[in-house]
Amino acid sequence: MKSAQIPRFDDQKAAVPGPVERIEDIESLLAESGYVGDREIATALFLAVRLYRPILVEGYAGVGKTEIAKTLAASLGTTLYRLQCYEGLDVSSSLYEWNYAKQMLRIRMDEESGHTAAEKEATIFSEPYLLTRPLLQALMHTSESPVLLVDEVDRADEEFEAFLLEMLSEYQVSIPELGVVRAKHRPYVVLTSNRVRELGDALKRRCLYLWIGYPSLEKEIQIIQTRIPGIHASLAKQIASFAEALRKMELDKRPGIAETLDWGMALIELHRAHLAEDAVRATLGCIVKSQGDMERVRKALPQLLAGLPPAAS
Amino acid sequence: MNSARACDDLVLAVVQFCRLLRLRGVRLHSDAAQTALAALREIDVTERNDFRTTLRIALVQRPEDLAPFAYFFNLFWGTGRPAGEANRAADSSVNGLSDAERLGEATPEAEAGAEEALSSDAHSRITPGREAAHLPDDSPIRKMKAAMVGGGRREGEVPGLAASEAAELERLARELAPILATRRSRRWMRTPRGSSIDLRKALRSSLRYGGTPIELPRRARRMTRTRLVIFCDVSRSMDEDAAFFLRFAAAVLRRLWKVEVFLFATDIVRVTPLWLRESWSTLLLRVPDCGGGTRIGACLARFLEEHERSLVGGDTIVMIFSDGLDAGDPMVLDLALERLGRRSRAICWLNPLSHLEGYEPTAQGMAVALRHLDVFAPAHDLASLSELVRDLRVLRAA
Repeated sequence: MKSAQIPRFDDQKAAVPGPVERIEDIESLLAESGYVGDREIATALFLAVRLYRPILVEGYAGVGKTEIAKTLAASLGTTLYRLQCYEGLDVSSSLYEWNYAKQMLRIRMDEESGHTAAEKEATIFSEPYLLTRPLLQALMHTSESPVLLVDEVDRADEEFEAFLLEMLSEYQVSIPELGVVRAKHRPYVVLTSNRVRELGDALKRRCLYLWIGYPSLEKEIQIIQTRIPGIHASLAKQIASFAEALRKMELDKRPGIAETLDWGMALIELHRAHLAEDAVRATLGCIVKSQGDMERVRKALPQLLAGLPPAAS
Repeated sequence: MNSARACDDLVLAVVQFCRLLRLRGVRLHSDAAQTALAALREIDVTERNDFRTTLRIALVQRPEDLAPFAYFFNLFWGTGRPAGEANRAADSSVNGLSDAERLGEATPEAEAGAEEALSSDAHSRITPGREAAHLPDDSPIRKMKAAMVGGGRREGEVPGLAASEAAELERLARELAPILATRRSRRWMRTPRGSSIDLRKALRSSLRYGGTPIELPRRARRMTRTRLVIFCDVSRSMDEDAAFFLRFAAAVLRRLWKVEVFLFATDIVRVTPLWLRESWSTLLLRVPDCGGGTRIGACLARFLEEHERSLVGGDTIVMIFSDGLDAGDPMVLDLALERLGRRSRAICWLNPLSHLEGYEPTAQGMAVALRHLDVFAPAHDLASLSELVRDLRVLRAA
């Protein structure tokens, strides 16, 4: 069995994106990009695109929140700018920063050149010395509306939320030395959150809201078969059933779709056509991610395997 | 003309639907109706599923509201189908219902439950005598509590402390206050004694000297003020423990900036402005205790409803002082603590029973609460308080 070819987003060329008129347009674009969504997600993306509103995607870890933004960018044929949030994220890491070292070097080199101070200042505070971060990059993208993904915005603090809110209302920032940078095309903004912290109301009010839960059994099977084309249908079914059973257990970290796909790929690499006890024990680390969880799953393994649909020959 | 009429009717209907949702406890933002209408303009409103999805995307802000939304949508806009089928359709359409306990399946039982939870009558239903019912009759704890409390509420006296004890209390409060008062944020601020160099300012000031960074301004991580919210259980069983703890809290409170104090038994009362002015007995009289057992979960839920946004933020430390004998539904307590934990920095639960030998936190309320807590300690006398101070110092360093 050859190893699976996973479609990668950067390799894909979306079909020429026409104007997005109806929800069905988005649905077909999503299907072409290999994203298995449903009408709800397509509707949410449709509204976000048509109304030019940011969309807040909440859900547990590993259910495909980041994938949505990537898919949107691929479907619309635009660039994706990604800002990963963390506590203490501030303007210099998210918007821009001057390249101080380069500036100081330039000043040293210019010492003998005879330029006036004003000229020197104009040189060092110009675009070549500006390190742009994702938010500014999204604003400065001129060819078409890019997709801006602000990932895990609940990990940033309240001050960053206020700053983000300000940027999302005007889509312009003012850099003291350069002037006002206005977005030529308003970016499509996707915010994701793991619900670790409650987001501020002002930010939530600005956005449309989409909750993504764990997929149903059929949907998960479909996702596995789309993303791992070489996989047996019965193995996909068994993997999905096992994952569903695991999610009903009391685990520290419940497996998301990302883990399920990793597991499927691992099993294919090991040339397995169905789930047997030894295969599961060997690859448990793909789907279960803590010591306590591994113990619990090992203990419950016989029952879990007994509950699976039978493997086709 | 007809379509204009129909348009107006739709606008009116959407606005009324938003009002219904707000009335029934679903959190909507202030311009929800406008967002919904702008969104509806983009879709074909005759498609029922799209209509519902669009309204949900525009109106709902939290996953807890998904199930009530589904229920009220069917109620308001009609189901368009025979009743049983409609409920099942609502189930399958709510995204992510595989996690049924968290989101609350819109099954008929849960609908009744949602109805009950949303109505304000739920708080007032009291079953007498259930507080002690959780413990088996011959449990040593029950006997000890019986011996300690001696029946009946003591009116008026704060148990007197000896002078040395009072001094010790003040000392502990002095130690505790700075620990709780501030925390190190991850943001930077300029300070002359900071640990790292502020390159931006250095560059700016170097321009004055022709590009040579002669001044090296420094920066360090900022300190922010934390807020402390104290919940104290003043029901019958907690009487003297509460009094002791509150004396300590008063000593701490005098030294902190932002402290809120709430007392609860069967309902919760904010006593912060009255705290240092009124006597103990007057304060106790303000707290409704209809007998029949403490309802910790319901009180916390009530607090969250009214004060969540204003009082609990990323810097808040929550202290709950209670013996954990909860006569209410443990699920309510679980949800309330989860919500509180998501909003605040840390939850400390001080349980005066936990120092008793052989005590295991198996009472329903306590067992459910344990997984949300960052600190779990007794606070019944001075020794335990100094241990608490130590625990909190560790917590702050984390």
